[in-house]
Amino acid sequence: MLVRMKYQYPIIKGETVQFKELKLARAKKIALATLEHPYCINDSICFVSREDGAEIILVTFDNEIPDSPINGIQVFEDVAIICYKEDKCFPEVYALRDDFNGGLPHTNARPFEHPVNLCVTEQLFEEVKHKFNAFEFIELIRRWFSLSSEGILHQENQPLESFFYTKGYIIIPANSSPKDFNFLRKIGNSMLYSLSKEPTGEYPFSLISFKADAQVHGFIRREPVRISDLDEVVRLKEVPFSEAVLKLFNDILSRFTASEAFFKCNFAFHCEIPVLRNYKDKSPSGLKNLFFLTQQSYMDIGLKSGCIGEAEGNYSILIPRKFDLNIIKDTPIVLFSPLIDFSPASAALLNNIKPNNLNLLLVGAGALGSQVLSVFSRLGFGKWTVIDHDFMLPHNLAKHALNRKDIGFNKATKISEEVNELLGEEVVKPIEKNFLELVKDKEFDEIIAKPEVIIDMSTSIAVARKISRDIDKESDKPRISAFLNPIGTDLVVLAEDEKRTHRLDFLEMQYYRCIFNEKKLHDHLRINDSDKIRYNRNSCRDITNKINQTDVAIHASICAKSLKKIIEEGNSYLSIWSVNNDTHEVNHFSFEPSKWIVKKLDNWEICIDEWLVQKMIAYRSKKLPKETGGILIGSIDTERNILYLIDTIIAPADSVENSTSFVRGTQGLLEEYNLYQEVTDSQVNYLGEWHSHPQGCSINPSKLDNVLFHYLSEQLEHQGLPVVMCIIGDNGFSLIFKT
Amino acid sequence: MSNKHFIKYYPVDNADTSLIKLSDKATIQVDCQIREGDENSDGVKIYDVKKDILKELQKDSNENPYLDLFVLSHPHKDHCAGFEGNYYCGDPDDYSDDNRDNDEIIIGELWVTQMVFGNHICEEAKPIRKEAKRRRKLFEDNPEEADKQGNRLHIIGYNDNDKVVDGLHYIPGESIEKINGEENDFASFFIHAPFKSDLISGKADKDHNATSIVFQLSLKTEINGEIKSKAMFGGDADHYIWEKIKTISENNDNQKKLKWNLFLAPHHCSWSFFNDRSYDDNKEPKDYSLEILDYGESNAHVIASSIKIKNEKPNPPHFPAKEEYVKKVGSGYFRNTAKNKSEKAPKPLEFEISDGGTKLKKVAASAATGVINTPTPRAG
Repeated sequence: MLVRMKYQYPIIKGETVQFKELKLARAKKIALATLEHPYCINDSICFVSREDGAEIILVTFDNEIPDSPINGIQVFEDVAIICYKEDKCFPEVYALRDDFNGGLPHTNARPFEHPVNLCVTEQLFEEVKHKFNAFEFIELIRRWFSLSSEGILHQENQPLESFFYTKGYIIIPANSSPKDFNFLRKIGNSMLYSLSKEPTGEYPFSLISFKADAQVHGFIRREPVRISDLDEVVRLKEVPFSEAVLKLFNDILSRFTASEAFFKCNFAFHCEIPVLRNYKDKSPSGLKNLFFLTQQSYMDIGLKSGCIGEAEGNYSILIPRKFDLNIIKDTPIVLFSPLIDFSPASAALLNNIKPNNLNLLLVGAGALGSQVLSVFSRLGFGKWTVIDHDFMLPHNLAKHALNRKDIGFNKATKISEEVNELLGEEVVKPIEKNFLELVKDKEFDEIIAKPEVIIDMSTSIAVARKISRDIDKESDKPRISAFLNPIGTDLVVLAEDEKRTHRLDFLEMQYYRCIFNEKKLHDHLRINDSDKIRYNRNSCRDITNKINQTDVAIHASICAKSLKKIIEEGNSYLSIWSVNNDTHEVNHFSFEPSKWIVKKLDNWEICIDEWLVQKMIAYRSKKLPKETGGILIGSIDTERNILYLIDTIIAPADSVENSTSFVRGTQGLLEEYNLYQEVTDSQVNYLGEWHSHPQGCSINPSKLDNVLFHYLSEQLEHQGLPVVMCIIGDNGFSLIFKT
Repeated sequence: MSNKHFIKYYPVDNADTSLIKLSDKATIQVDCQIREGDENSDGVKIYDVKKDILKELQKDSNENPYLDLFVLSHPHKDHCAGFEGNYYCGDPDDYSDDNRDNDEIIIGELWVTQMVFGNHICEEAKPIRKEAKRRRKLFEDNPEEADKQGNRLHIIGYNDNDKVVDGLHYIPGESIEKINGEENDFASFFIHAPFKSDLISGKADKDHNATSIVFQLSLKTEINGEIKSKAMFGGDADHYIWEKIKTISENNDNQKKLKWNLFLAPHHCSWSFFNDRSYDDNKEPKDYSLEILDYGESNAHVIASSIKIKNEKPNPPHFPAKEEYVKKVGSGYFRNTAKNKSEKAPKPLEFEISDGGTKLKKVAASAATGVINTPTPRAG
């Protein structure tokens, strides 16, 4: 049966036409697609030309639905597809059946309940117009029926209600209710309004909030155009909405003052409606905020009702008259939708990440720190404390997240203001102090003890060492250090695991070895003088490097991404990312954090990387039955009496290796050592010697060894350097140490 | 992810070919009509059933395609045409390269009735008789070998001596959960027919239709879960058989075995399900036939495996039969294999069984997909 014969809706009224009489290209294409489609019932299809030039395809769809469909979807559904002359939007799709369920998800509310307008696509028409395909459009409609029949069209993160052609939006701050505000303030030239306590800006609206009775979702089935249209769906303690407005208007009539903005401004209503998922539910699953704006003020309605009088510009209350219910009922309204303001929660949602409110401490709000924090703020990730004593200077603008207006102000304070403004709440707390100069007092305890992770982006080794070694009592939480290499092309991230097994200072030491052992990173710490800018400010050390903002921006994003992963997973991490300036590729170098052995000798901590021990053991095995050896390379922290042994340069070719002795040669050794120093920017030094003992011998020093050690001490101690000797044997290793 | 099974009813004119594929990939075919040529006598494109079935089948360790179970409802041409040459007959160990080149399908387990061993069967059924005999002999001589893929046989109903042999026969009233030697987690067959009385030699030879295997296939989507769908297959069984099925099931308090979500209209939508033929002499449908239809669950489908149903001869399919079915299930739930997607080139009716129940798939491929999926005509 022709669909046309079954329905009398005004929107499909018009002249029945043949396919060849259709004029609109869009309608013709859709008509043809329905005629050719295997699941459009052929003898149902007919076409209508409306007076306004719109053309309508009426068709019965044969839907793919389960044997127990939900939402009342049926196997055959009659549909009207309306194409407009202007062709500026998708053709409208209406489900025609007069008992088709209203208020389903993905329907658009119209001023009538039936037919029901289906929202078949979320795409913007202008974006896909060029590739519009009538067959695919038909498939979208079929998909709508099919998924709705299984209740899976609607996704979890989408609102439950049908959609309106909203005329504008009201921005609601994340942590407050519209009930706390009295006015709407227009923002710019848009149809956006913000909530306000005072009547500010152009054309403000007075706002009245109502808390309405709970409704089952899908309660709005048609778009309201006047106050009386709300009576069915918005009730206050069972009183219809217009009557509630009448009562309120009458109640405040005695307070009426013509000069008061509240009475002069046009009215907007806010209704907070608890929404139940099902009729039987006792508690609501959410709150729906609806806004209805009028083009009338309280005074206008009072004048019309005759309860307010006007004479020569003076207004007065005309007691005992009251507001007229019919005038209130007939007051036109326009629907505005709420928009939840940008907040950490919505930022996380929009960035498709899990919300995270962990307390995090950031030391250093320089170029990298500020840009990483900026990325994190837009992700809505973390609650931050930022420590930095530095002030914004003009040259910082090249690579800092802050702006010209911030010059002269503390970086921590300004970046905090920026982020808090962006997110509409305080997520960053600044501390204008030099971390190295923080005194261990109550405030210090609070700063250090609270954060779940301590992140150093100060590009200061001193800071990294301090957070690694000097605040263990105050915090047992993991530390992370992130920094750029001197020319900004490489990013380094060193992260402790949750249990702090791989400590930051160990990771730093391993990092030096890694950049030496990975030839591609040999230029990582190198910098030419031409890459520095020297300032005549306070001292000759007042320099900065010529780092390119493109590198900082790339690395800030990578850094934020990797920090997020580290914070969420709690694993240790040693990674370097390097931007190739020719191809702009980013190479990633990842190294497994190694284990360290710590020995206390002579009031010093001797830390030796297990990797190094294994390297020496392997080399001994290779040379057995002869002895062998090499020089020990590492770093000294004289402030904390820590000696880190990280690597060895093994026996040069001219070494004398016998079964009972070993004389370390020199051939090429200095060149190799110098290269090590160059590559690591002199962060590692010569620390002593190691050699192996044959099988069956102890790892205690022999007489010859004692002579050697004495020799080494003599050579080094006059420069105040400690000396270490390591012996590798069957039973591991022994260390001889002297400061 | 829920387990999904599907049942396909192929467009094979007035004949039956159905394929069930379970989520564990086990495959069951009920009857076959595999035809040569491009079009039938009415100019309707012949669907390539073999190609589609091969696409759905698993392959054994030798890369040979196999069905887990083939059910021959009764040995009539429209239920076994094309068996020879498309399904492998013989010792599976002898499957040769020639068989492989010919894509011959190994039948893991074969179900037939006693009728297939008779003399009065059509030419098309004779290869099945030969294969069934081979398997039966193997069962008698070497039961261990007979319980291997490609050798398994079950005879549905009694034999010609009204006897059953343990391990060889399944009889009405039995529920079968074993497919191709393995207990299946999802599928269960309830055997309704053929009845002993209808298999009596002489009577049965005259009316093979009355000896059709009738069974209800129940499908679950979870191990030990609830039944999500029931499909009724009954070959060409007529209303007398269905009356018996109904009476016996009800008397045994087995009403649930009469329930269905999918009902393959017997004998290609013939009036014989409702009353004796001809229709003109017996226009009133029998109450019990209508009551069988009342066992349909809500929004259950009736499938007419036939040519397009017109209100004219020849029949089956009978237009009045269609009308009776439509009265029960509604026009949206009565589906004719000859009309799915296109009357000129119909495609199989494919039902998906999932946690949500039974759903007829209605996939409309884009034109581009259609072109890509089809060999182009020869270019000059």
